[in-house]
Amino acid sequence: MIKVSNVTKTFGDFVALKDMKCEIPEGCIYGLVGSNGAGKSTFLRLITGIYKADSGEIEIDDKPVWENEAAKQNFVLVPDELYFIQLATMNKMAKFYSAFYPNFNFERFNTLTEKFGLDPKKKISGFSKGMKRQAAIICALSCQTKYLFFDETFDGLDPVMRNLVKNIIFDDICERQATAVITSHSLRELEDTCDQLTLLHKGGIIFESDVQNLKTSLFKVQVAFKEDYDKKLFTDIGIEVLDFKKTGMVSNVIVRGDREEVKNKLKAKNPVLFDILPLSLEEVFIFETGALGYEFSDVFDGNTDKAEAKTDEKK
Amino acid sequence: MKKNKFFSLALMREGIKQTMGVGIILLIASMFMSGYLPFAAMFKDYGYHITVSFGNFFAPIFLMGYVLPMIFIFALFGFMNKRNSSDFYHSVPLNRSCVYITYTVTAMLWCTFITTVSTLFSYSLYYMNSKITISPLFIGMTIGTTFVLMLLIAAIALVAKGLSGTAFSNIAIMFLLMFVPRIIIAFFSSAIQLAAPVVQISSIPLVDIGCNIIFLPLSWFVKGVYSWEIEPITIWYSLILAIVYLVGGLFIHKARKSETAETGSSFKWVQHVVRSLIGIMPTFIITYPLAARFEKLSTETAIIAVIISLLLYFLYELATTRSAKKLLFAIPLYLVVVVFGFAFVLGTHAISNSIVSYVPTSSEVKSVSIKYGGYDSDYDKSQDAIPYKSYMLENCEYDDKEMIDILCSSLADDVKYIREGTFEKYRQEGYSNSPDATRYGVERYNVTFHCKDGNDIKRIVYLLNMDYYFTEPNGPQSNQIEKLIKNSDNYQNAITKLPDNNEIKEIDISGYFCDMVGGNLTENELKELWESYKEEYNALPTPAKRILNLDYYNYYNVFHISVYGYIGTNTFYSQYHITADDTPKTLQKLSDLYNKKNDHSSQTLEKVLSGIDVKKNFTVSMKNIMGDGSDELRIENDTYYTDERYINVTIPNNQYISDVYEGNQPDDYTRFSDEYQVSDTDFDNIKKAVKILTDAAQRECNLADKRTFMLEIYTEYNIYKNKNEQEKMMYSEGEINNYIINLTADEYKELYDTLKKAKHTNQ
Repeated sequence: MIKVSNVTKTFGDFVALKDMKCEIPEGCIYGLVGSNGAGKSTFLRLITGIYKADSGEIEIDDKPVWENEAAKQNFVLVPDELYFIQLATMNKMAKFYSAFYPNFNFERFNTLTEKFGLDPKKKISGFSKGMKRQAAIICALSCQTKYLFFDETFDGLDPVMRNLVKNIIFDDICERQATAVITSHSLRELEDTCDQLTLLHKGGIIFESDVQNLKTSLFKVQVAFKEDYDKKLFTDIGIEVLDFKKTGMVSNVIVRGDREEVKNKLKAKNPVLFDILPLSLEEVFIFETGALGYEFSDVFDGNTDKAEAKTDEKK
Repeated sequence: MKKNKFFSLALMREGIKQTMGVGIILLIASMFMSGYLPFAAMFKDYGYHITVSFGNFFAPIFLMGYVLPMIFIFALFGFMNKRNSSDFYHSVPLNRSCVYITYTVTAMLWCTFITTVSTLFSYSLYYMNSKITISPLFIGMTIGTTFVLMLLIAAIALVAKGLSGTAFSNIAIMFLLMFVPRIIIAFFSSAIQLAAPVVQISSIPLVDIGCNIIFLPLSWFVKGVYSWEIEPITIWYSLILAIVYLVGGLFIHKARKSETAETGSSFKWVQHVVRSLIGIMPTFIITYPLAARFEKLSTETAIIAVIISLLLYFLYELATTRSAKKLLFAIPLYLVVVVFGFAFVLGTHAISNSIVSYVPTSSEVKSVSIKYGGYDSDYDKSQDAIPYKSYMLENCEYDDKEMIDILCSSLADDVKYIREGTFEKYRQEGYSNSPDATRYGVERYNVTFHCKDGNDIKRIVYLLNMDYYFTEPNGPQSNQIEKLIKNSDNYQNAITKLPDNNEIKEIDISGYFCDMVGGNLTENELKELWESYKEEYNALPTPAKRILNLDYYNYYNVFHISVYGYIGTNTFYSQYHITADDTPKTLQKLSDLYNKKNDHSSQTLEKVLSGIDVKKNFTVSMKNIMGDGSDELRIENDTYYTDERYINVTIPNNQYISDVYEGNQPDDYTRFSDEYQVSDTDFDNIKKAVKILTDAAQRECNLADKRTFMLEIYTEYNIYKNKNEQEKMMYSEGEINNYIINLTADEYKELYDTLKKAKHTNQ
């Protein structure tokens, strides 16, 4: 388990993380999402011992991470800005990693290299950007560490590769109880991959939840009644309403709670129209952050998904 | 919990691989630099024996020692200057100490490997040259000294890398660390020297510029000392400093934040320190004269210095931070510059005052050692090898009471003048205290007062020298000092001491005749000659030893026995005269060896005589072994000087060689000139004269005989004339045979009379 307790990190006057607290359980794929400058990379660098927290504690499996060689052997990081040894080939990088990671598996390395279609003898400096990212992922996965950290790694992969990597990670988790922490600024990237999602904004966690739980506990109810009604109809019967929009007699209500329970409660009111619709992860986040008092657009400044949706609407 | 490693073999292997290309290139460059001189020496015909000085040997390798550690440290720790590489190295399972120690060891391994290979390469090349002597001590001294230099530079580079995050700032801070402390210390020591001119700065080891091995060559240059001495204090101080920097560097690297890569300074305080140093430098314009007790420091100069200091101080802050807020914060910190200035001035005053406060009295002094500008003691050390006696004089102690009294009272006067502020007048400009204020030259003597309580006090003592301006019957004391020195037994013993056998590496017979005698002698024969010489020499009274030991001698052509060797890393070369009067046994041994090794048979002479033909060129010349080296007699038949053939005879005016005495130089030559005559009669007399000489050459000779001559017969030579008519350049090639002969008085008379009768071109 990764335990982060009241961690603060500043860079000069800029507060990158403030009193951050979270626990990442073993055997999951933990997604960390947030806009640029939210603190995602800083968080990863803190838990991998690259940065030292100004205050607070970070432990992996109850061991402090900072300057702890034994603890570092349990994780590997694929950073957003990749680095390879000068004039290195993949084979050379593999040898380098194998010197420090005791579980480095050359067989796996060769298999992955073949699967990804890369030439291990060719200089990495001659690879494309995407291929370099693949090379870094292969080296990291070959280390067979308990914890894998990917900093905006998936953002640069094509869908086929992303799927391939995802499956390999899933295998690791199943076989070795590995834990992966993936950061991204794209919800869509993480939606299909992660078990847990955390939303980071301005150095703090504003929202953290199990993805499945998120999708099932929050849903849209489309309902209409003969008589006039308002939001109070729902709240009076104990339904938690995140958003209420009424157009004519039909209202779209974003509800948090148990589906069956909400269904039964509303059906008891004899609606003329009743439908439960699932929400996309983005919509979930919109309403959850809204409930917390944040504007989604503020949190996801420059969110490409949202920009794409707006473009579609215009079309 | 598993403990962290402090060293990683895998990382070291990786480091070596990463720097393999650089390492090989530097190895080749280093071998080229260290091998160039010895390789070139292989193709030079010096004509005499060479003793390699330590300086010539170690200088190229020592120079590489400045460059190698910088390159390797910056290459291996280059990851610290980029965010992505810095993050990478800090994310892998290695702690910072491990990376620091491992890569430092890797860098030093490369440096030591390169310098060791270069040293051995250079030594081997010198060793293979039979005309060159070199001490094996040089290997260890070179590798060891260069290692200390490289360790110190590596350590400074490591600290610089830890304190800064860009290549430019790495280099800037490295040079700041390397030079600024020493510059400040140099100002400090220089100010002390000026404030207390009696101090020998070299006696305060840590302020001496040569104490820091990085500045060793500069200290040699500044002091004018070319003996390539490396004091133990230099090694120890530099080693300790290196360790301090290494340990400091470790802590800095551990504390350094990875996110400071690509920034100018990794720690906030670095900014303050650099800024303060920049502010301090111009203030030396004020503090230095105050510390050195200069009388004049103008207010305008002081104001300008302060303005420059403030400007640089704040401009640096503004340029690096671009923040008005930080500029304001820097204002009160200027106090550091002010405090430093005060500390500098007060510190120099305190030290100079303590130095002048103690003047030993003559009753407290047991003996003195003195370095002065006399010929024997302060030999020109720019030569590669200096006489053995010069080294003996450096450690000579004198216990003459009069000498001690003079030096102690002079020192007391010097200190008095310093306190009164009149030192410049009486001890630099040389005015005497007498009412007429006569002005003299001033001599400086580096004196070590060996006190009875076991302390040694080193001071510079200033004495007036009467020779410069004025002559007085009871002249000032400097010449008296020199007289006392030269009269002392210790001095005479030092001057006349022969080197110990374990200090000697080569023995040779030198002098004008060395080719005939010395060149053919074996090592054992030379050793026997030396042992014989030592026995005779040591039995002589000191004045006689003194004459044999002189660097110059009246007899140009006498034999010398030369010894080459080392005292530590210092080379010496000394030659001692072999004379019939003082060392007859050795001279006899030499004669015997000469006669044994030279072919006096008639076959050789027959060949020689057959070469003397009217149609062929020949020259027969005879030099007086006790003369000045010029020809006593010369018979030549050639076209060397003109296009026409001529026979030229040159003989001294005095018919008979008079008793040889010191300084006999036949300088009245009568030159005869005539037209060439193809006349057998004329040529017969020439041949007869030559036969007298060659008959003498067939006899064994006695080198101790006063009528000993060197006979040189040059035959069968061709003269080449430059085809360009504008130039009259000619040279000759032929066969030379040399003999040493004794002539009886009768033979000499007959020779002279025969030549007078012979018709020759210059008659």
